[in-house]
Amino acid sequence: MSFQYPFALFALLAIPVLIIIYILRNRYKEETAPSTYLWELSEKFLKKRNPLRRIEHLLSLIVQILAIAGMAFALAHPQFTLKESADNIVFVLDNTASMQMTHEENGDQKTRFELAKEEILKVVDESVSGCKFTLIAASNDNDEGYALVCSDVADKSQFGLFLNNVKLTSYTGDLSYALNQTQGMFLNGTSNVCYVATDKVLPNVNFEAENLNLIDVSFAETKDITAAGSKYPSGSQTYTIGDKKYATYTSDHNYALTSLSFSIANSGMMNITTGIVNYNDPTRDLKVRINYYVDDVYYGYYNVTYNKSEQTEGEEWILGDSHEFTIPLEAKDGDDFLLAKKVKAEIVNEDCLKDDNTFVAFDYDVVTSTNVLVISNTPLYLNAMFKSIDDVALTVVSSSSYTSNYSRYTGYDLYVIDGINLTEEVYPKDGAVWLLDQDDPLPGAGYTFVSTEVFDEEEATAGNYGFRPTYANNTDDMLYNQLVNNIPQNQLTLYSYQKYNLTTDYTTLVSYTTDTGSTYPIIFAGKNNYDQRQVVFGFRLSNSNLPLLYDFMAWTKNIISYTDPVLMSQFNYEVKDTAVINYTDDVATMVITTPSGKKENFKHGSADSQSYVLEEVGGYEVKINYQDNSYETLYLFSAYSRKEENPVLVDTDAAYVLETSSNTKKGDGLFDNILPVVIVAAVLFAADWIMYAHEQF
Amino acid sequence: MKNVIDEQFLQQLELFGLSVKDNVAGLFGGNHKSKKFGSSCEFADYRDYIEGDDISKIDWNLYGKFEKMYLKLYLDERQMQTRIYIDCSKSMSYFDKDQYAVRLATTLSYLSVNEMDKVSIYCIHGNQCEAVLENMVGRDTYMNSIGRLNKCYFDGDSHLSEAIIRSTVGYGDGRSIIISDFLTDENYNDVIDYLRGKRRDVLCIQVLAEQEVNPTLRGKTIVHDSEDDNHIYKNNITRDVLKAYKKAVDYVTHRIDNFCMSRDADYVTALTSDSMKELFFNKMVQRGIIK
Repeated sequence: MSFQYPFALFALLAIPVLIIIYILRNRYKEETAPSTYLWELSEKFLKKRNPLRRIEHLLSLIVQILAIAGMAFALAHPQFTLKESADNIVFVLDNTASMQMTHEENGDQKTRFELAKEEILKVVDESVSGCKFTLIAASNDNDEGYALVCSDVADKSQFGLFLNNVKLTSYTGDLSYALNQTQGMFLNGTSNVCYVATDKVLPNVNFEAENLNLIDVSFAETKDITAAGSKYPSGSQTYTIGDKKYATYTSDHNYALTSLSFSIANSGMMNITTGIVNYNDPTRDLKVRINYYVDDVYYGYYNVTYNKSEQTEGEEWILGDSHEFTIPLEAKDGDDFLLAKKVKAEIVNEDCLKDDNTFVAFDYDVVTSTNVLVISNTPLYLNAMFKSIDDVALTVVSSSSYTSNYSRYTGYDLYVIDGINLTEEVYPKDGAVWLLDQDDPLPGAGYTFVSTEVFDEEEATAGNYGFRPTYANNTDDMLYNQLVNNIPQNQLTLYSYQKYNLTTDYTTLVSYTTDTGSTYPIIFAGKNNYDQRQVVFGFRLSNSNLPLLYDFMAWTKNIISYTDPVLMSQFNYEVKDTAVINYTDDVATMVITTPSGKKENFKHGSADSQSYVLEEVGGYEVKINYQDNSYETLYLFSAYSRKEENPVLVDTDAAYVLETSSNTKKGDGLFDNILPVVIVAAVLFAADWIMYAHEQF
Repeated sequence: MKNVIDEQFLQQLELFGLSVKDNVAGLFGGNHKSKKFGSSCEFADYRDYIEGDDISKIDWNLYGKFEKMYLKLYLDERQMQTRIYIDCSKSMSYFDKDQYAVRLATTLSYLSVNEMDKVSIYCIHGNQCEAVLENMVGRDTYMNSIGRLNKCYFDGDSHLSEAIIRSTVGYGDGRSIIISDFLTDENYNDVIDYLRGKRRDVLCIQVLAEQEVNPTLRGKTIVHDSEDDNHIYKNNITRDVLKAYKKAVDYVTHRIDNFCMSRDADYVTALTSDSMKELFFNKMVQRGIIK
């Protein structure tokens, strides 16, 4: 036994003080009365003395001494060591999206996640002091599929703080990773008991094992349906463990919208197609109301009904399957649906997961026309190529025409300068530039000319008739991925090329390595010193096999996409997807507002295309402020993973059987509950007070 | 005495009178109705007329009804002799019992004076019965003399029986009132028997202080007797001792009450916390001591 606060034992010094006070107070005091007659007479009426009465005053002293001793003992906080009684407990807490469901019969509307936390805290509170706790949060919010929140924490209140810090995610997850980690702890002897707090049914995890416990917050019922002809609710999830078959079901409702799109008919009506999924027992009568909003204005509702007594073919919902329907919507007075950008559908029924009851469809005209000016004296290949691509407005001029009237040629999205060295005076000041075969680049171009390399025809052999540059395989670079996207990467062969040295941090797309091992960029891209998007081809098209390859088409399309980008091309995502947003030249700032209201400035990075991970479920608002002070608002929608929307989620992936290693040893437990000592001290104080009160009153 | 006499209280008291239990053998001129037939205005009874009777007392209305002569009889009115004995031992000097006793004697004597009785007040010291006031009659005399009670002192011990029996107590001529704490072992029995033998109405008033009835002493205590240094009581005063003490108080009061009842004497307990009004208008009226 030891004491946490041994100094408190100094309180025992009060005992000798008490004894001295007792001795002093027990001396006879003298009084004078009118007559002692009544006192003497009272002796006749005094009952036979109880022997205890003789030590009554001593009894009071004994009780007081014991009370002080008890109090000092309690203050000193005694601790008793219990050999090998403390478990090393690892908690696996499921913090995937489904854990934010509520239970209909649970009046306080606590989420499964909150209930799981409460249960974990109960286990911690009831455990012997000296236990060590490890907490693993299991969801795909990181690449490993789990997060080790804390390890071997002995302080219960500190563990409570760690537990409190675990946040619910909107992601899906597989508990296998966390259980795998737990097994590792079992094997290396750092843990011997595991609690898994989840709403998922894990048929392949053996919770019968002594060291494995399930904190089930799914509120699901399970029925053994192995026997032939077993009946079970039609909304059940069925699964097999060994040679037994089970059905699991819940009474909780959950509906979700799975898709939403709209189109405008010639009549001006809007046709809205809505996908809805029902995770409830389809044998029940259902009536789901969906409200529709066009550009945030309420336009009407539609009731999706399912009446089991009037079931007709084709209307039956199958559990978990999406049901799609199209309804017409008539424009209100003065409204023109052709101008509509955003349509929102919202299920208003109560259910256990509300966040998936909203869906937003956003229409953004991603098709824009690109104005291209080709400045070339030999525009054969370029002319043919650009004309073959839709939505390109092409203008071709010779170098002399351009130089003499350069001030007329402005306002193009892309300037293609083919084999011509323009002076700084006439160089295009706007748009993007695609430079081919430059041997006297401007200082602001970001590279310098070294030499023109011509292939020695004498070295030509069959199948090798020129320089053979290679793709840089720079897949970590977003610009590389964008410009090389969909290019088959057929072998490029050059008769001659310009040897450049880069003076700016460009992304090299294609390079050539000489016999001496030196590498020179052949195709590279990036922002030049004039703040223009620039793509450089260090060779003349006619000196290469590129015009003969499909790659040329892909290159041209990618260069158009790069030099004249649209902001976004996809608007509906699943949570944790990455949205790609292009920071075009005319954009000044961009602010993203998440569904929870968090505003983030989307900064212009080194690359023009940037990724944004959608961490939350719901509608994101992207406000784009252009440099001319105009602005535009776009909407992204991020939905739950369908896997997480089902109230009864049977996870057959978590097929881990935890086994305790023989190396695992329990730690020494600590019994430090001072409540019994406090109670004893309190009882003694109370007894002393009762004795005093009994004597006095 | 001005500070002890409440005039309003005395005015209310004038409406009452001490009740007389026995035949009054006092002198004529008082307010008390004697059991002897006399010449007062108060009708008492009828009897048959016999020769020689005063014919003016024949009730002629009855003669008209019954054609027989009846004589109307009237009660006689006598003057009583009230003797008040105050126990002036030292035990009476504690807890203002002395002041209470003097105030009580003052009030009782006023009540008697108001009845046109003679009043005598005595202090008892040891075996002696010392007269403070004797044969006081009438309110004027009362007002002039009652101040002498201030000279009473309370010291030493007292032997009620020996002191009163030695003194002149009279015979069948009124009431004897003993004011004492009676905290003694039955030395009052003889005097009550003696006074009743002298055909006097007896009223014993036991004056006790609240501190005597509900003592506040606790713990180990040596209690000295105020009248006798040799008497001490030594004990650890516990809850049980206090219970026994209260039983002793009850025993003492009941004992004297029962003894008085057996001798057709009156008894009342007066706590110093009781006001005179409460004592006279409640306790004494309830017990029929005053009417």
